[in-house]
Amino acid sequence: MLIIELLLGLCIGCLIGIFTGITPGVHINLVSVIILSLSPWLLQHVSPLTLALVIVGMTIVHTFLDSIPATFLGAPDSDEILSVLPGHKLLLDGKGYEAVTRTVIGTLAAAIVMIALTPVLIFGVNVLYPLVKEKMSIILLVLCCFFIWKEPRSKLWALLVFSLAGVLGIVTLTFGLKDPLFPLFSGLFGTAGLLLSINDKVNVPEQKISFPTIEKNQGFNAITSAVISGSVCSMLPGLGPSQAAMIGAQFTKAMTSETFLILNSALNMVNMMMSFITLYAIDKGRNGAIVVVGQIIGDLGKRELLILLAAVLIALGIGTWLTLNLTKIFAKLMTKINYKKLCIGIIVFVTSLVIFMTSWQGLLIYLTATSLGLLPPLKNVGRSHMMGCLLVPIILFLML
Amino acid sequence: MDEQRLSKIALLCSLVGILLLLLIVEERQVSASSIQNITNQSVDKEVKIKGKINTLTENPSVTIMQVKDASGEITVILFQKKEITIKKGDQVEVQGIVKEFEGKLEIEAKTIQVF
Repeated sequence: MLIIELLLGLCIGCLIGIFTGITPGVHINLVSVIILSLSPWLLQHVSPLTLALVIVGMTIVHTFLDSIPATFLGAPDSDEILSVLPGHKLLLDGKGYEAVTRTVIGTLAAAIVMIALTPVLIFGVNVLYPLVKEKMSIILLVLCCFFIWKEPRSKLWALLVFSLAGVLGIVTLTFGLKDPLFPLFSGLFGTAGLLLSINDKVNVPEQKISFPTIEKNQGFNAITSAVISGSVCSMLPGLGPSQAAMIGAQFTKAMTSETFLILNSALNMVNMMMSFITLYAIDKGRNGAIVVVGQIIGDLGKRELLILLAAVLIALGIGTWLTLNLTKIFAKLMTKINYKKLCIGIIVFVTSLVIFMTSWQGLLIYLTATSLGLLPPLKNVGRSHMMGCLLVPIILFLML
Repeated sequence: MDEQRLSKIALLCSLVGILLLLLIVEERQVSASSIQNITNQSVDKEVKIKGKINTLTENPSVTIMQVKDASGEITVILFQKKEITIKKGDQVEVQGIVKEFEGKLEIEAKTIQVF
């Protein structure tokens, strides 16, 4: 029975999503690439759609669950309160559960809105993409300048981080590695943050399990901004949820930490959903895992898209339930975890994977990327400027 | 909104998803037919056949094969985007759309599964 096979595939994906979601440093793109490399053997036993649903289940559950480590791990000392991320701010107030619940509401609401708007968005992408495509390099260049200009602390450091990441991106992509982005992103966004967290002596207060009160207007504004800015950014390569958040924040008046959590989580889901839509409409997935889904299925027709959306709906329920319940466990366990040992363990695991998958060339990129990844938090500028590692090569590729 | 309402919305999403999946998959199910049953009336319709690969020609963008069962033989075309590992003599299940090309019927494969 195909339906049983599909549901089983989705459940296996959700289980993998639990692992990738709550383990910092393990990204869904990495697991998707492993699944793709095993696909010739796997496809002899299951249908391509089943394999695609494994990735869909993993992706959706991961999107929900990754807010747990993002909130509960890596919080800086309370002396650095000015640079604390919104989730950590609530954690240090004993409201970690509330912070994660806000991200669950943002993720779930954004997914439902995106599924409802799918026909409109497909039409929009088909109409807008040819126009955007012609001027893509100029649009990306203007947006890069905008992101650096909007850096509230040090524009000069923002420019320097962006440029260095750009140079590293060019070198990495011309190195001839099979998976060049894995050591690059693991270093820039994973290991660097973990290294800094090792030295933090965090006293996390006892956590209260209370449901947040969200004003309807604020929630509505955050979701609307996320859908608009996320959808537009998804048409442009190299732009992720962080860049869309900077644009979205311009349209959300009086952005509080609490509203930002909803906006940011909604953007992650919008980005994921738009990847399905762009894959269907223009044959370009804007997310590594969704690109793999496209490669496994082949031609993504209407029926396949509907099956993927149905799978997303099922996974939304699973993701919400899992996140709400696992957060309660995390909130209780938080004080018992030896965070330093956990960080070291993850760094060793990711470094071993880099060596195993990309050899010494990958290790060289990984070490350079890790060093560069230390700069933004140390110089107090946004980590999102490191997306120059993709944006600079893309702009140069489009211009030259 | 409280946790109970959020859980109810999540549960509703999953139920709608399962229902939708059931509907689409039921519609998608194509029962396997023998090659001799594929006629001009089958053009542009989805079919599923099971048989053995008799000949195989692979190009970078397209794979052409002759698939044979007890009732006959038909050309199967696969415009591939991903690498597949099939060889002459493999028993395969092919699902795809029937097309007419230069007066002959052929199947434009959507999926090919090796037994």
